[in-house]
Amino acid sequence: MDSHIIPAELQRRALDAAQVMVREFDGTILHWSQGMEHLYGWQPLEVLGRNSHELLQTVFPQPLTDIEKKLVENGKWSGDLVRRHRDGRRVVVASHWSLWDQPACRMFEDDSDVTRERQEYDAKQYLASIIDSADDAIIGKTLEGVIRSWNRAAQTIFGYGAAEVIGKSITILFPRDRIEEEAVLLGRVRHGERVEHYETLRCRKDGVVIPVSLTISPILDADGKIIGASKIVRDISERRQALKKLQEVQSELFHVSRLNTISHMASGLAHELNQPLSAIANYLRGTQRLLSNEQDDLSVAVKEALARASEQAVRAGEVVKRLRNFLSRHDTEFKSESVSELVRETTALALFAVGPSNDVKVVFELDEGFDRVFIDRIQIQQVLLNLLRNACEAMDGAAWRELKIVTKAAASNMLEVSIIDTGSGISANAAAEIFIPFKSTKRQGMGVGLAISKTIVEVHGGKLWLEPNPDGGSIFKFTLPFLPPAENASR
Amino acid sequence: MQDHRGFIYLVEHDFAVRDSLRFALETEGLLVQEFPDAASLLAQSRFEPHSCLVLAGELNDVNGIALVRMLRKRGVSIPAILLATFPGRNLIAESRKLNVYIAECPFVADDLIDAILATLDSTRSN
Repeated sequence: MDSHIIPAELQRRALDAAQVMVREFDGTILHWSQGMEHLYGWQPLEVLGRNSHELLQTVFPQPLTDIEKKLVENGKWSGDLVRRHRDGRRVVVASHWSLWDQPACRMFEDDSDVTRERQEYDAKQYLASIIDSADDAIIGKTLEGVIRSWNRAAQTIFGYGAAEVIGKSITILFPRDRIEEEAVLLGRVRHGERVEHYETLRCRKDGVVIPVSLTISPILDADGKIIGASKIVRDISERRQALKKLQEVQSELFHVSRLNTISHMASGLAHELNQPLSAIANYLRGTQRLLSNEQDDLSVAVKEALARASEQAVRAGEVVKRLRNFLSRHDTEFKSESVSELVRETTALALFAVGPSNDVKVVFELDEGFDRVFIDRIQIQQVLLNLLRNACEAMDGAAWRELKIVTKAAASNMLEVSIIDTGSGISANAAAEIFIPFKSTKRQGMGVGLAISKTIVEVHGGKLWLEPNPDGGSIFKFTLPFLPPAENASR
Repeated sequence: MQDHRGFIYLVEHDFAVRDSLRFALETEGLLVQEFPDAASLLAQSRFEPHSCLVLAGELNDVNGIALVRMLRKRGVSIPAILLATFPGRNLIAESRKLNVYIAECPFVADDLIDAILATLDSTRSN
């Protein structure tokens, strides 16, 4: 026997060890190798004549009709299939189909198990896609500061593509005056230390320097040796801007609040001076009247002196009036404003001011259709900010912190704004005094906030009051005048 | 009652203002009855026909305009003059509704007394 000729029995066995089936074009199984039995757990006698797609609950990577089309065109097809083992286990196979005799449309299919490889690949893909979809730049670097990996956010934040920076030194991101920072940060990483939320400046490709927050952790190899560092960079320009805006608004509000206090004092002072001035004018007038019919020299001289005294009383009155007008003339600007917009903006500011640790759930119920009011924006913003901050402070330490802001039309052309908190609430005793200046129960502050808020709302023609929240906490409500109906309708 | 030019109900918590005004009005031949607060005026059961109410914008118990509102509710239609320091828009609007004349403080005494006399005259011609 020629040693090159393999006996038929051996050929059959070799073929049988492979994971092969012969089937009709539609999937009806004609031959099922031992290899297939091993792969899917089904015995030949159980599967012959059955449809392989149904039996193995096959999930195709593309519609079966498309696969069949390619098979007819090219005579073969390859791809990954997801199937079920007889015991229910998920099996991923790399499957190769080839037409065997075209007229009868029979075909070979040989499969190899790639479940594990695909799982590892998927896990890596998964991690990679997490890193790539992060909003923060995630950069891998060696202990020498050479960039090894660069995610999509890094590209967005710094403007460099991965190809431009991988292999380069991380210091290309440093403003010139901060280069030495790298040595310090890397030194800490070499000692296994983690650097958290380190705020500094970095430089974009276009040269713009941006504020960032860095978190740097060591990367260990399988033996626990430090081989590099991962750096998470958060662009905090927006946060900085928000903080700056908050400071601006606060200083503006502080200014307004001081003007309000001064104008309050000026009114009070003017009234206190006016009373005696009025009394003087009255006494003088009466005395002049008593002497009106006397024509002797003395009476004439006294009458003349009294008339001059009266003039001076009037003059003093004018001075008081001018002083009061001057001090109370702050630039109030009453304009048409959207309450919804003002509420949203101010709530963001208030929450920002209270700090991110205080996670309060905010619910808006705003009647956007009827929200044009006639107000001085800055003053009403001060009222809102004051009430919102009070609400947040009242909820400090509460188990359930929900801040709800409701706007709706109220009676007689007024819009009603409610600020509802789930805080500790205000006792009936305290409630009687909260609008009185300098009676604050808070540890900080002068206790003029609510008094000034009330005055501001009243100057606008509205009212400010407190109601208990039946669900616990407090409800502060105030009203503001709508624009004249014609103007509301035209918007 | 003696011959007099009219009757004034004067409500003002500040003694000097009240006393000085009483003095000035009496020299005009008017009869003046003083009240330190709203409560004492409200205790008054009837008002003279040819009379006028002169009251401060702010009293210790209620504000002047609220006092007028209470009187109007009782059906007392006596003319009223309110002494107000820098009246605001709301106060002016409310006064107009209740037919109250506002004398702005610090007032020129002559102007106030002329206003009082003119108001009293109008009660006679009605």
